[in-house]
Amino acid sequence: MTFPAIPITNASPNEMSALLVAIAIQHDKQMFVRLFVYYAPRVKAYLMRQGVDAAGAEELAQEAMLIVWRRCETFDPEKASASTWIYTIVRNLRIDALRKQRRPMFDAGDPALAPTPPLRPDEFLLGEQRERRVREALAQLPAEQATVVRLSFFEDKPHGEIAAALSLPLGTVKSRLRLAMRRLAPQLGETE
Amino acid sequence: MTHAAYHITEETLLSYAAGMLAEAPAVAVAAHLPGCARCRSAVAALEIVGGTLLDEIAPAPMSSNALSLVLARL
Repeated sequence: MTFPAIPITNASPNEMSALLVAIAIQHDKQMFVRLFVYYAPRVKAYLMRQGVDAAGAEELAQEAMLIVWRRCETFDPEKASASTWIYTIVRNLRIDALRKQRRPMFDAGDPALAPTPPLRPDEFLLGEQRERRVREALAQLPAEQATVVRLSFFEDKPHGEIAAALSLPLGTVKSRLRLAMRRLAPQLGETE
Repeated sequence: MTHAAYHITEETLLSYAAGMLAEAPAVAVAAHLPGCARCRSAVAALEIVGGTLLDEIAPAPMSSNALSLVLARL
């Protein structure tokens, strides 16, 4: 079975969400190819950035894309974008892979293996709005805050090590993170 | 709004959403989230950050047979 070479597209996240919905309805492999071409190399790059070796990242990226195909019917574009949904699949897959490496016999009933609880109806109605708001907030973060947020996602390091890597006092890293978090998730600043 | 007896620190929520939290604290966070709308929606926001980083990262080329291997398993 051969497929025409498809260039890496710079598709927008919204296009990818629409594509994923269409795949769930039509089970169309040609559509899946487009999704694969966009996401698989990004998933691989993301995992390598987190310290997974190239072969492991390649394998996990393939696994992730299989999960995307198998679970695409559970994707709800009102809750999250395709990129956010796929991000959580990749994150959980990496956690599982690390756990199996360390401890081949694991308890499938372990609560740590449970996915993040789904948002409730009143929460996910705001999903699209939240996606837009968070993306804008991230784009508008001062560079110094964006840097510590990125390092927190990519580096398996305590903040003390991030501080050392950036030659900053730990308190500075923590306050930058705190400021960034308040912009990305304003509800954290709410008093109850 | 659901009130939990305590909240998870911002630093810990960030590590959790990033998938960088050690197993034991991750279990504690997972147990806390169902009862706490504030922490739950913070994690949802931080997962969007993860999705955005995935969009922004420079792609690493997959091996030449990766697509056919995956298609064969669909």
